[in-house]
Amino acid sequence: MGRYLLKRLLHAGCIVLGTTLLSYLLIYLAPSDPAQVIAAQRLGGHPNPAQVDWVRQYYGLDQPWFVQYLRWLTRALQGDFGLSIRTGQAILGEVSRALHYSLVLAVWTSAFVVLVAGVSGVWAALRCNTLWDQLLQLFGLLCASVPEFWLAFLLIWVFAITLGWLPSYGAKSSAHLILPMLSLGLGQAARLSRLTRTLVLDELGKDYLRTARAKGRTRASALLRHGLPNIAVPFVALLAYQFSLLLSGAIIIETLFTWPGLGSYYIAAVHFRDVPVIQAVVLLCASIIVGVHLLADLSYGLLDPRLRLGS
Amino acid sequence: MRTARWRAGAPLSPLTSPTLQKEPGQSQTVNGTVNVQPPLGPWRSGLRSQVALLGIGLAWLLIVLSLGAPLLAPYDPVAVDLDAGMQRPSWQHWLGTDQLGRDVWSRLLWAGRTSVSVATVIAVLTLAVGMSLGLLAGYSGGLLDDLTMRLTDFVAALPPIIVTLACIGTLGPSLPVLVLTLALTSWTPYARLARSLVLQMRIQEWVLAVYALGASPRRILLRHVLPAVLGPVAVQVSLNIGGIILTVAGLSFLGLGIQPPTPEWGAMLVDARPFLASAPHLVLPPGLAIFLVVFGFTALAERLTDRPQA
Amino acid sequence: MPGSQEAGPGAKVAQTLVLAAGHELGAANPHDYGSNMALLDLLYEPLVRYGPDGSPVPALAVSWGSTPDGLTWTFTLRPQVTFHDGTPFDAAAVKWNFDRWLGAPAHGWLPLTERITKVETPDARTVALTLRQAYYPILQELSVIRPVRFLSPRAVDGHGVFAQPCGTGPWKMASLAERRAVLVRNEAYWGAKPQIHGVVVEVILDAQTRVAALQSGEIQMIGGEYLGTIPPESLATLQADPALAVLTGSSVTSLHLMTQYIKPPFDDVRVRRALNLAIDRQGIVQAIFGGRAEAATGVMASAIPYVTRTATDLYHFNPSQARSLLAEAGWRPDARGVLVKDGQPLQMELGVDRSRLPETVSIAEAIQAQVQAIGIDLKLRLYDYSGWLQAYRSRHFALLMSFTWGPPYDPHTLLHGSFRSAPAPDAMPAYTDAQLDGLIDAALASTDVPTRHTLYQRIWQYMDDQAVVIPLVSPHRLYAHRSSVTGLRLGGTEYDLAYALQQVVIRGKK
Repeated sequence: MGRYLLKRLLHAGCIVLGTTLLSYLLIYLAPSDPAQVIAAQRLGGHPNPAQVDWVRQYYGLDQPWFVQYLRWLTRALQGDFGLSIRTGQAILGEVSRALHYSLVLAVWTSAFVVLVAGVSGVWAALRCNTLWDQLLQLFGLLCASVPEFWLAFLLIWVFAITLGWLPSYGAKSSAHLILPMLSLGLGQAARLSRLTRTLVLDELGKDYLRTARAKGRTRASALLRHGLPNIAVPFVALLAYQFSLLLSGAIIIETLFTWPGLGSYYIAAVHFRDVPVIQAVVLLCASIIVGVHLLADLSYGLLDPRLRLGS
Repeated sequence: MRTARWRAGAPLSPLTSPTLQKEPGQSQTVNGTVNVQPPLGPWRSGLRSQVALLGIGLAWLLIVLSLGAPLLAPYDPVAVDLDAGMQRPSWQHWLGTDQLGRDVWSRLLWAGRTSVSVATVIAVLTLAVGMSLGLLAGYSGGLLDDLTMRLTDFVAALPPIIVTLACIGTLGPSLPVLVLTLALTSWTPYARLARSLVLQMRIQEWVLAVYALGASPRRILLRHVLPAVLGPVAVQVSLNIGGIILTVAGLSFLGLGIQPPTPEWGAMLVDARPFLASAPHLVLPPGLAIFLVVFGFTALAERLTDRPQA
Repeated sequence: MPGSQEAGPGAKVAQTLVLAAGHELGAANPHDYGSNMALLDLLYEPLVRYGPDGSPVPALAVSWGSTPDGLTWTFTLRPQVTFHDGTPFDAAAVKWNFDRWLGAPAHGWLPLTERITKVETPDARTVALTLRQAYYPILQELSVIRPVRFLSPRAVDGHGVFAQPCGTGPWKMASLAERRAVLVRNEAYWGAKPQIHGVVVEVILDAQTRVAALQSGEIQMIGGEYLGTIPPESLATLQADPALAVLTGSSVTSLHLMTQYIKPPFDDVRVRRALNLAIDRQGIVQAIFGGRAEAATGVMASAIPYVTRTATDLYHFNPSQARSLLAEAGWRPDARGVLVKDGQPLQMELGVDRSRLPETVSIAEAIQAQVQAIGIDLKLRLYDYSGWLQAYRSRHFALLMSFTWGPPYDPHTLLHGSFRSAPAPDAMPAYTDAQLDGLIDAALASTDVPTRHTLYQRIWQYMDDQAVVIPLVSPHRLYAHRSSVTGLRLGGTEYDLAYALQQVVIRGKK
């Protein structure tokens, strides 16, 4: 197990290193000279050639790209992503704050998703093909087929404007969490619920269940005791994928609800062509995805003893 | 007899089985067992099936109508008529007009054409790249397989929307940039699926038989493996066309997707937001259209995968 | 010290007004350009204010006068005024502030920066400004916000770098975060104190979210060019809501299209004039603004001082005349109806800032359709604010949607900043030529009013004839607030938030 862990960590490290190279190279996507772009942003207006040269020297843009990349990488590994061109503040601090807010939203949304998907998926499978099952599935398809921002518009209109029960923007209290959480979570819960239902149905067709029922257990308890490893692994896989999406892809919802997470921060950087921030966020999100999947992979060993390697 | 460099297929971790990463809802292949849905019994023709059929039918009707927009749309979708703004549905304008006097029904159809074709192009590109790489990896084995899988892992770590926005932000919101970046960041699950299918097929007897009969690897690949793998992977991709349409709509919400005045459902929804209460004829059609098409693709793909596997 | 304000009924509870801003607040430094101007207006004051009718109102200066040649202006400062941190406001503080920005190239857009040569302080309550040449708009320019307002000399660190927001205004900064500013009433204010005790400014970047927040009661006031605009599409919703009230005023700013006048096809004045005739401004006013705008009859809005000329015939919707003008310039329609000349079709790209002025996208779409009707192939290019600014500064555009600045900048500062050629590399004129330069210089240096009037009329006539820009519409000023917010009034400029809030009282439930 230890060797496997080491191997996976190394593997993950290589991937993250690769993404650092890609993030660094993003600066060259812009058709114009990066020094010109930075000078124009920093100094405002039309920088003269002397100013552009100074910027080039200051940021080390006159070095060969590999040297620049290494410099950026060494600093980044120590947590120094430089200063944001837009705000002039250290990116690390801003990104940490934004990440904190995104984490809060992601964790609560995932909890909601797990609860709703778990309960509805199992229940639908147990009542397979009855009217309730069909209705639930339809409702699930509905939630999964509607764009998130559309759901958000509707929720804001109903709960904030018409009823006035919930706040429509900001991140000041836990009540502010509810509408963004619902907008993000309903679609994901629907998809996860479908998977759960399928998995449970698969289990229900298996022999051990018949044996358990013959022994007098209910389906539900037998499922819980014996079927859980089979169900848990794919469940956790999809959940991990969705969680990493929440951390890196909730841009639209965060913009709509003025939730100061990573998405809002990133879109402001994109609009401003704030390249250091873009580089930092791409790197951070890639690391998060790799990390989340690594954790999920490692958890399969815990969930399903048959998957434990090295045994 | 030529000796093949077959490598024993390593047990696939659940994560590398891409059916578990993207839209599930179909039979899973976990730990080598192929699981089959229990027979659905007398309720097969029940409510869900009927509604699903209805949904699929409506969705495809809408798609066909949209693709025929140049012939079917009664008005030019970008023709502005400032005197005829904000009209309710009537016989002249079936779904009314928007703020600039443009016919909503025509815009809906043309937007469908744009949304569906853009999503299809992205899906086809994704399929092409994913399948080629997956086939290459699964069939060649060895170093090429390793390299391809490392590449796949690397691209899989890139968040698609983040990278797409970075590219659009620097290169400008043009359609080619949008299509290419979305396609190039989303192909990894299909590569993994294709690879796993090829690995499974490699050890099947009929393949070995054909090989023993003297067929070249290339012939086997193109004439036997490719068609067999194409089916499941294409189904997976079609499951995701709905997701692609939603993603493009979301990018249009941010102003970085399809640029006006080209109509697009997501952009129409955003423009209609101020009129949520006052002019529902602007707000419901694009939302319903997106919903129907996504529903249709998802339900269809689900039906296709519901059948027991051979 | 004026007596304390009497509390209205039910005002025992501290009253706080919550506003929504449409862009980030910045550091609240009055001497740079990163902060929200309406917020700055609450904290900092000028020597002279721009009154509701355009005439100068004493603020930190109680009286002023100039020598007959207009070269020296003397201001008598208001006594017993202190900054929020207790520093006395006196002539030394005034000179310290002037020294921070006079002559700096970053402020070159403001003509005063290079026209003031000396700032003298004969005594603690008198300041004398010496000018290089007579400049009649000195009072208007001293009433703007950036960079002329007064910061406490103790609000900087050892190196003279801005450290905290500290001015003399009726509001003090209690806390400032990136997206939220909390201000409290300045109890030591020299003038009439506001009725409410606190103001909270929240940043909501999305215009529709601002509207939704107002409807749900989380925000109590939105609107204003400099605070956070209300999209005209939401007007109907706001008017229909019984819990809200809408406050409007006559238009003072004007949207226009800047052209790349040095390159074809815009180097031909007939093409520019044809564009003017090809646009149905009234249609835009009705369809997009619901009637709450004026079709442009000149480059500046008619409420601007010295604007008396209206050239309706040049800006009338007349597509056939546009076509004939273009034909005269050599553009004839081909088989598909697109205008071509020497084999080249008449194509242009219009750049629009989608993030700060979302309604301009609809306007641009309308214009696109209208000019297409006469055979011009117009494409849209949507920018966000930074992209738009970059296009503007680098002059990398064919057509760019822009706007006049409104009072107190119009007409003089705008003419100088946007229509006069300047040697500075970061000058961004919309249009310049030698003749216009001469006219503008003469108007700005004029010392008697009748001559000035004549000179301005000549400027407007020249600008109309040459179609220097393509003016579109002047939107009405638009604010919306909860019905419980009473006493809101419009100041002379769109950033006059302190004036607007001065008599506000919140009655009853939110």
